[in-house]
Amino acid sequence: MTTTIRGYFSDIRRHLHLAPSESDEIVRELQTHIEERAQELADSGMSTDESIKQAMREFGETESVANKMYEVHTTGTWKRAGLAALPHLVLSLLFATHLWTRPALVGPMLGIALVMSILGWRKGRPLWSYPWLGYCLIIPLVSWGLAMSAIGYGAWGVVTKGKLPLGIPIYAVSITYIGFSLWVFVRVLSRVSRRDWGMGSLMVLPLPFLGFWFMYFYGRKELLEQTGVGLQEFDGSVATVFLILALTTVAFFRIGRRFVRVALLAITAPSMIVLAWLSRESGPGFIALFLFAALSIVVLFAPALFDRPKDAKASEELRYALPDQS
Amino acid sequence: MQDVAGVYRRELLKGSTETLLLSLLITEPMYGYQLVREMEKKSSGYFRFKEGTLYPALHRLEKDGLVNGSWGDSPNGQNRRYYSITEKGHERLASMLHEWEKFSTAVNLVALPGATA
Repeated sequence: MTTTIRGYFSDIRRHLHLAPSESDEIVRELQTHIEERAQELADSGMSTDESIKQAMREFGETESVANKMYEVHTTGTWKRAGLAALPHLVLSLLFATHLWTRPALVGPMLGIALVMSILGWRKGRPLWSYPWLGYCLIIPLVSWGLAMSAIGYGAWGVVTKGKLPLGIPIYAVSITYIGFSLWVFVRVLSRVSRRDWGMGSLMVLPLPFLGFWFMYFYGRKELLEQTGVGLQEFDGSVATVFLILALTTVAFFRIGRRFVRVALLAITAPSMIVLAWLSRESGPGFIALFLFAALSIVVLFAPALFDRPKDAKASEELRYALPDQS
Repeated sequence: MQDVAGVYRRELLKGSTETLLLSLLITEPMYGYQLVREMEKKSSGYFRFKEGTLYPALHRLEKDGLVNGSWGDSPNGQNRRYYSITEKGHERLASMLHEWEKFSTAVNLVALPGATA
């Protein structure tokens, strides 16, 4: 019988998507309620087995109970929603004022994002810290890209000239770093997503757009050789995209329902790519648009792979325990 | 056939959950199951909180700073999470009851004019 209750609460815990300490406290409180109700039913003459099943039936479906608790515990105040949206807003401002090309401004900004993320991580990862953390993930991703470029350049040198263009130690470091940076990225993403993959999705939301933006300039290298004017031709739409990201983040925190949050992100991610594509003067065609829009959806749902696995045994016990639930 | 009175009662309860919970907590700190029992007792069985509604409502009140939740032992030695009303909760309740009084008077004036004359 104990296993039946365990199955019920294991299911609630799995659907809560909250920090372990928070989930523990909620489950403990709900458990005391069900135990007291079951005891009362048993005292009135019901069998122990049936009294527990009846108490759980009265309490309701696990997913529904957990979803309501999730909504209460993750709906952010305006202040927290604003704090979460702040990095997007600052970036929007930097692009709107064409100041993003100044390293003296962008460097400290990245430093602030790093400090905020470390503070958030050390303080039990409050929900507002995820968008900040998302921008910090650019560091391992960009360095991973640089290491890959160095190796690709070396391979090209071997194929065309029969020798490595750079020293062997550089390649050894690059290969090691590729593994390390990927490990950092996956580790952070899995830690966040194991609690709530929706938060993981919010964290990686800007990455496909940033990838598209990077590819746009990569395909038009002449812009990089110009003065700031060429680089800034795209700024208006980039500022708009970051503003949309900020508004999406605020809405995400103010809306408690999990499926609405995921739907919101699923609409926003490809929309940013489409908006950027429409505002370009030349460059990526339809195929690139389709690929990046599809990639944005894949990236968005990738954190779901790190969600805690279903406890099949617990679910089986639950089905047995609650046969009358509709 | 749909139980119209039952649906109406549930809707009224949904809109009054916060007021009722705070009113119950004015007398003494209580835990979830105790609140369900007290509500049934004080309303002579008219109201019954659904557990799936009660706990989200209590946690929302706590998040808003209207009640405080803390673990303590019940008279029979069981560990329970007790809720007590805060100063902010008192103020909110006073304001809600004042509004409720005006609202119910207005409803009676319109719906039951003979009774209020």
